[in-house]
Amino acid sequence: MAGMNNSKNQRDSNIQKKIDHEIRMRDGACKLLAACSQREQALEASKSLLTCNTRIMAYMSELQRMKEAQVMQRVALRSSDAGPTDDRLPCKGKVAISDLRIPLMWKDTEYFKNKGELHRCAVFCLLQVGAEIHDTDMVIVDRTLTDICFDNTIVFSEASPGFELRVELYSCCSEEDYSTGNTPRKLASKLSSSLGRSAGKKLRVAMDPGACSPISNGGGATLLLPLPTVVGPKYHLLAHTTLSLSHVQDSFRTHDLSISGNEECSHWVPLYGSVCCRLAAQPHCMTQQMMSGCLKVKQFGGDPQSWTNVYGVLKGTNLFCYHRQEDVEANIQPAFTISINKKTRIRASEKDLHNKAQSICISNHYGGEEVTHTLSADSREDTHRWMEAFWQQFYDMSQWKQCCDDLMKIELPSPRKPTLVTSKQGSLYHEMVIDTSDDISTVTDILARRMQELELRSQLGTSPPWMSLFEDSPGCPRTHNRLPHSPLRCPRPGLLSSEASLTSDSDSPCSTSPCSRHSGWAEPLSLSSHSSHFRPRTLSLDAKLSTLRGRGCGGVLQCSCQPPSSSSLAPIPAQRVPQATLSCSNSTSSNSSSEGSHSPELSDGTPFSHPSSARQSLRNLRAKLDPRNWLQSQV
Amino acid sequence: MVCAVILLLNFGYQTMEMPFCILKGSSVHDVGDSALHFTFYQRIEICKLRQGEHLILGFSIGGGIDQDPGQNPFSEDKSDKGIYVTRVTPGGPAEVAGLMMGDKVMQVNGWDMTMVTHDQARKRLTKKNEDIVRLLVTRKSLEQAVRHSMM
Repeated sequence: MAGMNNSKNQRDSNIQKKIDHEIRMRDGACKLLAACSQREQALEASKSLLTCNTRIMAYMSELQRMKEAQVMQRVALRSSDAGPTDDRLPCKGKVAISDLRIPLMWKDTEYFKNKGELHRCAVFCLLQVGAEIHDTDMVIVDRTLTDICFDNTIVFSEASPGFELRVELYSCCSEEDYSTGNTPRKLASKLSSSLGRSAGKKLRVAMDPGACSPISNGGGATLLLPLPTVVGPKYHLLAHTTLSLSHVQDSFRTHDLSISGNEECSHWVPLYGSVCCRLAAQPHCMTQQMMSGCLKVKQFGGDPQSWTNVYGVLKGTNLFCYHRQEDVEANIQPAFTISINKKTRIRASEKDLHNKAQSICISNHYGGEEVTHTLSADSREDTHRWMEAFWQQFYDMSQWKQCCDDLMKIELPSPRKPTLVTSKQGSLYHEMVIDTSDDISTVTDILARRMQELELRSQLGTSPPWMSLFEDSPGCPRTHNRLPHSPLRCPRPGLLSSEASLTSDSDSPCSTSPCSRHSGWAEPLSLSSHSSHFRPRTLSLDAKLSTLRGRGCGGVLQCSCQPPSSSSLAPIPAQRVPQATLSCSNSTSSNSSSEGSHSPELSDGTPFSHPSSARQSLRNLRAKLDPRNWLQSQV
Repeated sequence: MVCAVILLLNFGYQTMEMPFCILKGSSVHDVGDSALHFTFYQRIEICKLRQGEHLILGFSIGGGIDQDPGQNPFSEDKSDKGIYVTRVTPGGPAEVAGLMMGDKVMQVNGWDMTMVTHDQARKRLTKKNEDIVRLLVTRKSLEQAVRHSMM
């Protein structure tokens, strides 16, 4: 039982490691997507993102299945049912798909005329068996192409004969402009908020009372991964199909595609409706030695003295009989070979008069003639093992069917070069997109990132070059804590001087933007005092978006940048809202007498909705204004 | 007793749903969900109650990015600037819906509440044209309960 637990722990931690890896890759892809300005980069990053997402989903499903299986097993053991049945399992095998080709069907007039703007789409395929997901390279498709060809060969190493290979074709229109720098303010805020709403809507839809059983109250608990919103090119599923053992053949075959989407979609590519590919499988019983050992063989009915000592190796559809065990490694031809295929008949025979152990008879038809060999092992246990091996071989062949007729060839894919993010070393300035209203720190962030990129370019390994940029070192704290400072950032450099009187009250261990340092941007690359090593500040665009959104939310942030209008607390007019908490309580200066009494009108946009309560004591209000209090509001 | 939990993964622009079963009362091996970056949330739907001219929810909030997080008595992490429920009016709409003191409000009707000022948070809860607010909250006890069931 302990051994079983250990293997389970092993499997669990394997999946856990994989999920961790994919989440890191995903983070990197998100950041790259947010930072890149070239279309090709954005499309590649978006493809990586989709692949990572799909992999995370697959691993989580796998994890869930494993947990369920564990619990079911425990339940079964606990109940007084008979122990687990000893089901025979077929061997696993390699499944390879290659030479994918998807024919297109452009309208005649389009193809031959070839005038007007070329509508281009970026496409790629996702191939999935169980929890193993591979993606092909991305291909740009336009009117001049008659077929989409993917050169990749993709091998799944441990597939069972009942495998289901899901092929999905994703496409994305490659003409829109995705760079966030060009995104107008309104659009950025609209995107952030609309994504929030759609996520909220999905929450509502998902939490149908019928879908889950309530725990203690109301709806069920929801597990949510809080991840940043992403702006960029988005791939859509264009077509899919599922292949299985029946589609396996040692040659090209055409299969039907199920197409989603229609001509109206931006990501539409006119597909003919089928996909050609070569799907091959190599079951392990065909490629590996399933059983080996010393045997005595003679032809049936022959002279009792004509036993031959051989070293037998059961592999594929043959039992190879070598003179000596060393011949196997030396690649010397076996003395003879006995066929073991679906037409072979094997039975254990009665005790031979001259032998103590049972012998095994193998009958084959060679050209109309029936030839029988008799095998004898050294001991009863060995005989039993050989019989077991033969039964397993037969079972595997019955499960893998046509794959066991002959060994199919699978060409291993040549190691792929990691795709470089930027192939040309352009000028830094050409690659930066700067909006006039942008924070200067955005620029320095891009510079910093680019520097790191160039520095780390030499570390190209199996992971994409940008991976190393965004890898968190274990000691580094997560940067979520830094975000709060963004709304307080001054949007215009010109207002720096007026902030001399403003100090930040909040306890901030993290570094602040250049704006809040009186020295200006003398140290653009300064970082949190927590980390001792250089760490690129990659959240500036996230922060930027939330800044933009904050601006869209009623100009509350503008308050913080205005110099205090009065040096003493002005008497509060009767119309002041008693219950309204005042925003920007941070912007008090160290002199307690001067406080920015920001009129709520600015934040509300409309006169106060609550009835006035002139009876609210001034002391109470002062207490509310005092930043040392932790405000509470009743809603 | 089996309680079914819906796993909702928000991948930026891709949102996927996946049923995620957690079985209570039986010991299931815990893979250490810190690696999976989960936080356990609960959805609370509150119907506002009309009291004279106002629509009230019946609870109080504290916190915000403009507030001092060290003074939050409910947060585990004293640098957490989120919005917390500081009081629940007995018998009010919030209590009826299952909101509890100490809950951290993550979303209101889809609007994020983790990076907002105190006033922004208050405003999002008191919109005049909304009769129902759907909150996404998390509480330590819920998280512990689910984690414990996974142990």
